[in-house]
Amino acid sequence: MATFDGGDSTALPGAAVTPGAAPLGAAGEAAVEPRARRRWLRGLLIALAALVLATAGALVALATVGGAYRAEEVPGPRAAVLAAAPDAKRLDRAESRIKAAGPHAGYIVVDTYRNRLRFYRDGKLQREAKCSTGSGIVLRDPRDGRQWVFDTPQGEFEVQRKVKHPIWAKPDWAFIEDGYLPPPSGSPARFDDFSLGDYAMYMADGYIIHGTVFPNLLGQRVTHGCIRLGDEDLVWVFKNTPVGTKVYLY
Amino acid sequence: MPRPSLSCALLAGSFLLVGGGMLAAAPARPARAGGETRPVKPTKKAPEKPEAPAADAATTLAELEAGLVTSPALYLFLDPARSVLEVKSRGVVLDTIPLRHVTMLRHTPLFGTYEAPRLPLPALWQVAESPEDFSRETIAPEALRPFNPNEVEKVAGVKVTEPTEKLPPSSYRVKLDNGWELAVLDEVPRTHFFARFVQAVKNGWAHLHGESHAHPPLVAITVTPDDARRLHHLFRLKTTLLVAAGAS
Repeated sequence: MATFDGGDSTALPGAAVTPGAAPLGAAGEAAVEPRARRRWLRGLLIALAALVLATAGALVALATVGGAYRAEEVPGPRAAVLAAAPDAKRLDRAESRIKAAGPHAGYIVVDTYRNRLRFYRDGKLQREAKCSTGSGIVLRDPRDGRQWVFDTPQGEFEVQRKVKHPIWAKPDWAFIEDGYLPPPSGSPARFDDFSLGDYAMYMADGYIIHGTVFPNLLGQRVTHGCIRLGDEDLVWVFKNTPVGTKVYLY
Repeated sequence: MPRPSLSCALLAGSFLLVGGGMLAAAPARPARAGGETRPVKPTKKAPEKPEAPAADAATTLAELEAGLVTSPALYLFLDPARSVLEVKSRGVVLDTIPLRHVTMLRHTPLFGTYEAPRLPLPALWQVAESPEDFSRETIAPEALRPFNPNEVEKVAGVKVTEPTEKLPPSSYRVKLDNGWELAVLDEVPRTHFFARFVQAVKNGWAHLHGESHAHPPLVAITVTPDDARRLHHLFRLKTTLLVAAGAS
């Protein structure tokens, strides 16, 4: 009888041979071989099982140490908030403050990711136009490391003044970007009566809604922070935008 | 030659030892962030403090927003019950981004029951750190030469800037001032057991190698890849996020 610890009576030298059984020798060795193979196979299977178990144990140990994110529902209001009786006066007061902060006439919204300008009146969309907004590029002055970030800002602005046939007083960066030393202030080279188009609406911090000499770039982020419009849209917006109009940039 | 049974036993034993050893050798977990969970322990309950009188959810939310509209800055309004994120300023809805999924994710051990401190909502959070900016490009001429109008070939003084090809990522995280993070994802996070197990094994492996990663609690919103990209630039430092409570 074969046992896992290697005991096998027929394989032992000197063991009794039952009547009719083949004597030990070549045939006996042939009979031992499959048994040895089986033994090895069994051993291998047990080793594999042990390996699988050990690996699983190691993975569970790792997972226990590591932890993972568990999903939860976004909680509802706190019990105290749920239990609170609705206070109509308090709610009205808060809502009135919110409403009062918003625009009271037409207003402009500029989506700087999609490069779209929308004009609303009484909450209704009146016109949507392709525009160009800030490229997000950073320009560095090689002389002193001064930097300009060409972003269109975010938040609420206001049209402070409107100008027909605007002249652009070019700032330093407009020269540095082209590799030139900025000319002294007041130099005729500083003034450009072409680039802003026919109309300009000035907001705070030097940001302007104006025309463009590159209509093919409308819809893209290519400007130095200003908002460029095509001719037709610029005329419409200029006519419909009184000074004081709110401009929301995002 | 060793007997197979002995080899197997030795092999199995060594693996089990390694597994057990890893558990034993693992250093104690570092102190958890405020929002992380802790195992339930039978402890003496501290006397509960009476909560201040609260307004109902709608009033609380309106009052928080009324405080925000005094500033011209943009703010974002996350409404899990309606599954929308609104871009607002002065109470005006400038844009509405539909959310495919909203959930909260807390890093917890894989096994056992855990309790987490309840997140007080509605609430105002601020962006403490913007997501990494992939779209910035810096240009700097090597030297500047004196201006010569005759040299200027362009039709106008405004330089033509080629639009950048780089798009913002469609999955990213934004650090918030309350220790939480807002995860903007383009796929619904997988939180079934197998996914969590795989993640836990990876985390455990990293932990064994001394790579300590913070696992702050997350509010995960899933949007389309395009919406995720267009939201990216709105998460500037100190941008306020007004978060409504979930469905009660």
